[in-house]
Amino acid sequence: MDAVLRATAIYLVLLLLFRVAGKRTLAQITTFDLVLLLIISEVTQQAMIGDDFSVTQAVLAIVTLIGLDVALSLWKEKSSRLERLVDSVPVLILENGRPIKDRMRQLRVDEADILNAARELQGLERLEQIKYAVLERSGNISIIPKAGEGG
Amino acid sequence: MIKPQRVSDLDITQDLEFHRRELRAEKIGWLLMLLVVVAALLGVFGSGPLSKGQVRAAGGALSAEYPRFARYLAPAELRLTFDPAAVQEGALHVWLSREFLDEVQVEAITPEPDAQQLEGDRLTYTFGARNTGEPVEVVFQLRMADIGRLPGRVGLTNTTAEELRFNTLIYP
Repeated sequence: MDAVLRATAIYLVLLLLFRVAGKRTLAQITTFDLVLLLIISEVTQQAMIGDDFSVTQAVLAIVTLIGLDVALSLWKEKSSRLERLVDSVPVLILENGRPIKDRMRQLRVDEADILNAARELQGLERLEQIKYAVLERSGNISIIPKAGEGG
Repeated sequence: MIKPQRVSDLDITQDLEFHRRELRAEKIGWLLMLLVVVAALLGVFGSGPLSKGQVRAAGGALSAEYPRFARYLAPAELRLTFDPAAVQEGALHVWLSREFLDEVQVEAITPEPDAQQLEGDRLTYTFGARNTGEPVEVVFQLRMADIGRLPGRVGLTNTTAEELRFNTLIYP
């Protein structure tokens, strides 16, 4: 019984904390973000199974986590409000080569981040070559080049 | 499912009103995280200055330092201090309520008791002791085996005046 309760509690707490931290915080932009995620998983693991190292306990925790995820995704299909609440929304941060400064500041994104994504994804060199840059729900930046540029 | 809207040439589920509300919620969340960390440093979640409670019995011969906040399956300490007068005929008789003992694991008692005796809803520990005129101390190393509010009672056998009550809040 406690495996189900523990896994549910951890699932909800992590969901809340990752949402509150913001899209960009743990988007694995730096190596340290990845290390931090690994440490978080290490801390979480013990709270979820306690001192019971049986296969049953592990299976129960995994089934609970995956079950919650499936249930939540089904519910999100039904309710757009919940989907926004859980997954956030994408935000346009650059339009026709012009960065939208106040949104970028709010989302803790700078021009270097946009240029980084433009180089990596589209092989672009300058901001003017970008038509749109969007901060996606995952925290990644997607780049749409102007017609005739990059690709 | 959220319906995408057309923004300039882009079909996107952007919602700036929600974006603004999200930012506000984020800020509140950061503040709450800060408060949780500060509270944890102060000991509100166990192990820290605020988590140690002190009580003294009406008779004055017994006082206890008990865990006000503790965590499930985490170690905690109950420290009892006795006046020299509590030592009688070479022994110290201390009882703890069963209600309390049922919900904790006693990992170690320092010093080890010479005897334990069941008495209804309490368990009496007898320690060999010599009255040297100095206060004596008994420490119970505990591990909390229950979640929620746990009332505890501790006292000296043979006197009703030397009885203490305390409450421990155990976090999951």
